[in-house]
Amino acid sequence: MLVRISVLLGAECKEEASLELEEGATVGDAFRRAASLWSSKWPAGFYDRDSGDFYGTLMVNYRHASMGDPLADGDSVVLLPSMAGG
Amino acid sequence: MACGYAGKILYVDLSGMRHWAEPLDVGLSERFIGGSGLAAPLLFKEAPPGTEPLSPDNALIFLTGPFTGTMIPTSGRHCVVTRSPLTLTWGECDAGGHWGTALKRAGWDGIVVRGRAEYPVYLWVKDGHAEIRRADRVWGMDVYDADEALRTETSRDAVTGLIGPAGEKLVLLASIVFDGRDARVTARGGPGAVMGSKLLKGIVVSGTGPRPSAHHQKSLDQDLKARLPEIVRGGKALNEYGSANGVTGAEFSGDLPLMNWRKGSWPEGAAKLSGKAMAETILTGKFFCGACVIGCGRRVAVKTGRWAGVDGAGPEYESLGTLGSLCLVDDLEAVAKATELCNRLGLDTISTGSAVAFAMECYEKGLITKADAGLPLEWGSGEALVTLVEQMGNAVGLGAVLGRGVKRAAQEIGGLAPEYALHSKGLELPAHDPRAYYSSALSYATSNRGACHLAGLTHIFERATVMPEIGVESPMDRFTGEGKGRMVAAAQNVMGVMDSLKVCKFGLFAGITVTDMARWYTLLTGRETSPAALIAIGERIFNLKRVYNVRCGFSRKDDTMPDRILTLRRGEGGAARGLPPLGEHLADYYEARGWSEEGIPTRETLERLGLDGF
Ligand code: SF4
Repeated sequence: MLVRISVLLGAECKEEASLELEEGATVGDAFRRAASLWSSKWPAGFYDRDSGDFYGTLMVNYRHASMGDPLADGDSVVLLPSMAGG
Repeated sequence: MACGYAGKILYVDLSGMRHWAEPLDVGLSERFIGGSGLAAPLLFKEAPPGTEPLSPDNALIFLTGPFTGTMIPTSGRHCVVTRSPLTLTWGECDAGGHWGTALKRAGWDGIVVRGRAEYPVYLWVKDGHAEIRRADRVWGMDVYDADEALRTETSRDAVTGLIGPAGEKLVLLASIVFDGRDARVTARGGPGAVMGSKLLKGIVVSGTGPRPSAHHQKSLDQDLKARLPEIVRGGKALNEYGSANGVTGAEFSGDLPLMNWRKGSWPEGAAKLSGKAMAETILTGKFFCGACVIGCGRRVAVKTGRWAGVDGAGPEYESLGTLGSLCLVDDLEAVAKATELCNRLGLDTISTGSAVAFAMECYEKGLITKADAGLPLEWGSGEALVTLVEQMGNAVGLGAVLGRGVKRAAQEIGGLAPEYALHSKGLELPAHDPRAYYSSALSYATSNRGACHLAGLTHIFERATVMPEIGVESPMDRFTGEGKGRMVAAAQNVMGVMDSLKVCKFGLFAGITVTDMARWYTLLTGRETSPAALIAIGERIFNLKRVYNVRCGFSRKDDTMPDRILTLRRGEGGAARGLPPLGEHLADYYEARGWSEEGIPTRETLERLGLDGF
């Protein structure tokens, strides 16, 4: 199953790849693969490397998603820092 | 009366020391929903364009929306509408907390205050009963102390909306603070000064009635039960680290304002002001507004050191971006202290931080001296920040000048000071840089209350948020003007609907959609609607606010942004190269709105929207 994963750090795509994942893989599987590839460059408050906690927003095909959600072939997963307002 | 509404508004005439109830106009509620939408025709009637903002003739309108008081997520909100003394435009603010819910449960949709009392008073609303009481004992007290005193005098379960010394002294940046120490604030444009001009210290509300029932209660309950888990999930980051979690991401993308909008990058400073830094140092708890399942509120305390004694609501993203990064202050405890002073004294953190940054630049350029300020105003100085906030809240020293807002302060200081005063229509810019998200320039320039990020919240659509209901199917390129005029107009219409129903804008980050809102509106009120129909009401609302401004003399000449934003590149960081092309966008925007080249809604547009009577 081929899933596209993008990490947006402030509007622009900073990292992007098509990942081959096993059938039945979840958003969490895709997330962990992205973290193993790129997390050394992610800003503080986005991902805690010690605990593995992610403090941004997860989206699949631009809909909010959670780690346990299943992925389908061709899905696009987006990780982004949480929005702020006032 | 449709479900969701209490059906009546409390009118208060402080000059005559009298009050009375009037039924809510059902027809108006159908055409303008509630909240700041419904406040638009009310302001036309109660304080017509041209009304002197600090005169007894101005009206101060507090309104809930039909969702307020229900269990619809993030709906525990209300608005305050008046003619702004800072900008002289339509003035509108929105706050969460529990005051709006208490008012609705007391049996009121809103309160309209006019006139001026002869001595300081507060309004005590206990369910259907209202009373104007003397406030001499609390006049002069800061908000936290007055909250304690008035809840002791009335009911510990009551919720307060209060001004601090800033409002009493008619500081033009004065706010109204709700919920005491868990401060939720209507801040922008100086509503606290209007309240102070009426000698009204506060409105204390206790509502013990039931929550409003829904027309289709069972279906609404089922709908909410099905949607809530996803909204809770979507709001997890906000719950975990508060809106402050946005600081590092905003710095990374070039969105966080730095050094009075002159610097491009500051990762080390942003990390010290982040939600994570707050959680690891001064955070003591979280709080939720009424009916919220996200809970972005922060409680903080500083127990030792220079700023010991801080204990209450912590700084939000906007406060960190203005009192902090805009002044290059990376001392989180100093920013927490400045935030608490703003809450206690009753000041808008955004405008206050902007005024401090302006003063620091004037000091750097020799327009303000150490003797003027009482201390050196070096960039990054927590001491200077806190001192100036205290001066502004008490209207003393240099703070008395800064408290009139950067536009007026620059005129008084003279020289090149107006170049350092960043505002639109006299309202200081919020903490999102239009050079990072081009649509923000247009959105700020055309916002009815002056530079405001919440009136359009358009930068989210140039990042990762989609809204198919307005044609944004995938995120837009943040550095182009393509399609932005239409998008900004549509987004402003949606935000007007949210401000009328009463839904928190953070709900969008958690996945609440316009389609959700339309469905909930129908299930609650029994009024059939659709996303498109709601957005059409949003267009009517936005245009009526614009007409108010046009009648006050505003037009295209005022739909501007500061030169610094349009001509000075950040130079480094995530938005190093961008300059928003406001002029191009403006023409597209006026066309999308059906306005003339001068930015005036045409007769056809007003007729189409049913506004020709205004
Ligand atoms: S998300 Fe935050 S500001 Fe919005 S309603 Fe919830 S607690 Fe209040």
